[in-house]
Amino acid sequence: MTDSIGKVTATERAPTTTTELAFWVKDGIQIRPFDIIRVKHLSNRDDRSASYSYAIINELHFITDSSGHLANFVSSDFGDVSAVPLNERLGTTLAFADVLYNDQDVEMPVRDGATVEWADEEGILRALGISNLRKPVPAGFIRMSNGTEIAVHVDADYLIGPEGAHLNIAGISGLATKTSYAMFLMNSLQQLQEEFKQKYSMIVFNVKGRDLLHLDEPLISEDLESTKLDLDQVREDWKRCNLRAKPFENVQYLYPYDKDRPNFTTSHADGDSLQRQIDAKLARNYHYPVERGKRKLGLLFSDIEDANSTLASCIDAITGMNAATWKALRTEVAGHTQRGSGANSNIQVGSWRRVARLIETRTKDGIFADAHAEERRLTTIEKAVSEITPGQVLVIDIEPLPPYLQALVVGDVIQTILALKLGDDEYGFEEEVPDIGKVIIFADELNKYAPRNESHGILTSKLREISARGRSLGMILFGAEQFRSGVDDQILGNCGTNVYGRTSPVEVAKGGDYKFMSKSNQSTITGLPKGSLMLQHAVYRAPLLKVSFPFPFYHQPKD
Amino acid sequence: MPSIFKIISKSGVDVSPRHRSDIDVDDYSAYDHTTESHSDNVFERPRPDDPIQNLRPATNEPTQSILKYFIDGSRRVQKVADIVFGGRFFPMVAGQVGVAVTGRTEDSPYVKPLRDYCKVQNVISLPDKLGQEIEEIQRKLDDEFPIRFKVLTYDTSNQERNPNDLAVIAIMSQMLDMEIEAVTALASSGLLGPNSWLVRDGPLQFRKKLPKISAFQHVIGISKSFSTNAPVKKGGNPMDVGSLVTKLDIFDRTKCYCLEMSDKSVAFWYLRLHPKNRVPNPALDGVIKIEKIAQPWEVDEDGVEADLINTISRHVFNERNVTAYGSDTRWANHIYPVYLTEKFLKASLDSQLKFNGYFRETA
Repeated sequence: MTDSIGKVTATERAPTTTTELAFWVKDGIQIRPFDIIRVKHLSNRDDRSASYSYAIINELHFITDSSGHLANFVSSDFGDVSAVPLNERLGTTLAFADVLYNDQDVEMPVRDGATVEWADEEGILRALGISNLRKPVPAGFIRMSNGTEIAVHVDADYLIGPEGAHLNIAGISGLATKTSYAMFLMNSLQQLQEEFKQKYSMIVFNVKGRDLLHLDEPLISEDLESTKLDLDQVREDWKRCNLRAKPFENVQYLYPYDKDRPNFTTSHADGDSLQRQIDAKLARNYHYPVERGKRKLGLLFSDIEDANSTLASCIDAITGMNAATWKALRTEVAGHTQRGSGANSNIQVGSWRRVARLIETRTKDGIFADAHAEERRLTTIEKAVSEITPGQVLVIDIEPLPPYLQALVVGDVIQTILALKLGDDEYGFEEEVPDIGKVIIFADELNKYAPRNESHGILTSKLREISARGRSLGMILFGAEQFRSGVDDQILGNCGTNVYGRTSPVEVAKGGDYKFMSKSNQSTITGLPKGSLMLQHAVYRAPLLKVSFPFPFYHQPKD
Repeated sequence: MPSIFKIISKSGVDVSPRHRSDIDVDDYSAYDHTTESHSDNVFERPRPDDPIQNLRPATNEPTQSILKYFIDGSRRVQKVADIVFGGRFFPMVAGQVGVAVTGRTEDSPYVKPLRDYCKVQNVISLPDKLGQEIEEIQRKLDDEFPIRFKVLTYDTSNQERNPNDLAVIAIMSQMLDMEIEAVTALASSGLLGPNSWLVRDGPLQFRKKLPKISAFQHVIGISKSFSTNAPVKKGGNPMDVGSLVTKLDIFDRTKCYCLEMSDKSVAFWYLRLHPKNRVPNPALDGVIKIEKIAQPWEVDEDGVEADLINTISRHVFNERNVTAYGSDTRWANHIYPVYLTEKFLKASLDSQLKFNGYFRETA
């Protein structure tokens, strides 16, 4: 028999309900929010054996019989801070919990005085609704105050379709471990491809330092210097999730081209690693030759307000130009900026001048290059994406690029995948459309590409389309951002799985997506330790789970 | 479940149920609290020079308390019916009486109940005029009613007091018996001693003969309220209790006096637990009365040792915090473990709603 840790309390003013209960906690027992307990309850069976209701703790109070703060002041000899009362005031910890499940489907409120115990592992899994997942994907583990650790899973059918799809991870930089969690889930999926009899292509954008430029290299001890972990512990954590501790397999890297930089790229990738990737033919450089680049100007200018569609008109006109090089294109556009040049056009000279300035400033980067020498390992985003084979991971480094170019590359990838999935004349895939399988796209700083309250952006509308239709098309978006309040509502609303990392009290105070959380959860989220997150998943009965997860097992050199 | 009224009626007693009225007012404290034979003789050895002694502790750190056990009796009564007998109406009063004993333990910061000494009893108080019917009623109730009720009788010959009071006094008397029984049992079991005293909530005068004075050797009674007009000095400049205690400052105690009763002598003195300027009524709030039943040698030597009085007083002073300020109007005269014992006992009694159900006819 499990030891009792408290008893249910139901009063006239604070009754238990079908969804909530409160219990006092036995002296000496330590519990915390997100612990799961079980309560002995009525029977629904002929043999009259008791049922158990499972509940997740969401708040703890310590109450005393003091009538008010003044009573406590009085009880310290009227404000003498050195007074040491002989008697400790009567008090107890009250725990408030949300009822998740009853093992005999009893929906009656639990009774006053019912015994409360730690929940058993099997019961917890049933209570959370994850004991019989069709395609369980390890999602970390929950740690209870009594030392129990239980691996939890998400259902692949709800994470990457067809039942539900998309993942969003929010949290402040550095502490929220957003990227690490996304990589853990993607690694889990890659390891489960055989079991699920399905291959997943993955596209990962590297937006910070060299974070994701070594996905195929194993973790080394030096990577763990800032943590209290060692390699064996990390391996043990992976094992606990029933996964192998290993880096990603079948990874390709795309770096931004620059003809004047070593290895023809502006990437900050570690030199040795890059050389290894080049030698192994894993690394290529992406560029925008004018013929393809001029068709992407809409994406390049997606952040610019265009209320009168003059920019769109100019882009249309430019797309029709026959310039063979970027230089020629700039010259041709400049031709429209001369006084009187717009006589036979419905686009005013002023608009051309604006576009010319934009093209001049935004196509300066090395990726707008026409060179195509073989030894420079050049490719385009379109080509690289269409060449992905199911099961492959494509890492695209956009870290060195300014935000508008990052948006261009992300948008280009999405447009290309949509074209591959739906067909698009412009891409010339209509005859033999390559099968890239189900694609998972991981994009950090989603707020840059799909900001809230932006209705005009091409990229925002493409991302909305993915969030709405991606599930059926096989395009899954794993997005991350610092603040959910900065991301488009429709995209967030379509995510079947939401992860909340540590965030600031200001973000929580804004309400929005944090409104549904209890005060205690809101407080927890502002102080989550590194490596812990709050997980909301379509099939879970609990609104949120606090999970820890294994340290990603790929090399993460410090900058 | 049959109604109690019906069961009593079957005994041939004419019961006239009435709307239940609460008569549980605190007018009966005088029953266990008397001023008779109030002595103005000082009852401590050696005789103190000053009428008031200050016992301010040298440090705020309380020492381990010798006050280890706490006892409280409580009752909840209501008039439930009239008994018509011989052309007269007598009240039928029902209620619950209980006694709770709590003690300090090593493993808890709070006092915990000593279940072996805690008892709650349902009672019915009927006029003694019913004579032999009383036994019949008790037998029928035992046989036919699933909840145990003890039938008590009250003396109807006392024409000076309201019959309601007489019925309640019978119940009070039962409560006192239960308390005395508990104290005697505690003493017999060896739990009480020089380092483990029992504190009773209220005086120790019990208007009844105690079976064993020695059982009360390590027992004190603490009264939150007391008579203020009893004399403590008769000759010269006479003074009564009220005038004396208004002179007390925090940590002061009065001399010890003695109350001579027919079967026992009760030593008593007064203490101020909280400063005058911090309580609503500076004269009496914060002042408590401590009683101790004098043991034979103390009677022989004409006083309790001053050291013992001081030791007990210091330990009682230490109990002044925490307080029940805001929860109990008598907070300044309460000590917290007694307050908790009282709370525990009240919580052990049936709710009014449940108790009323015993007197209701159900299908």
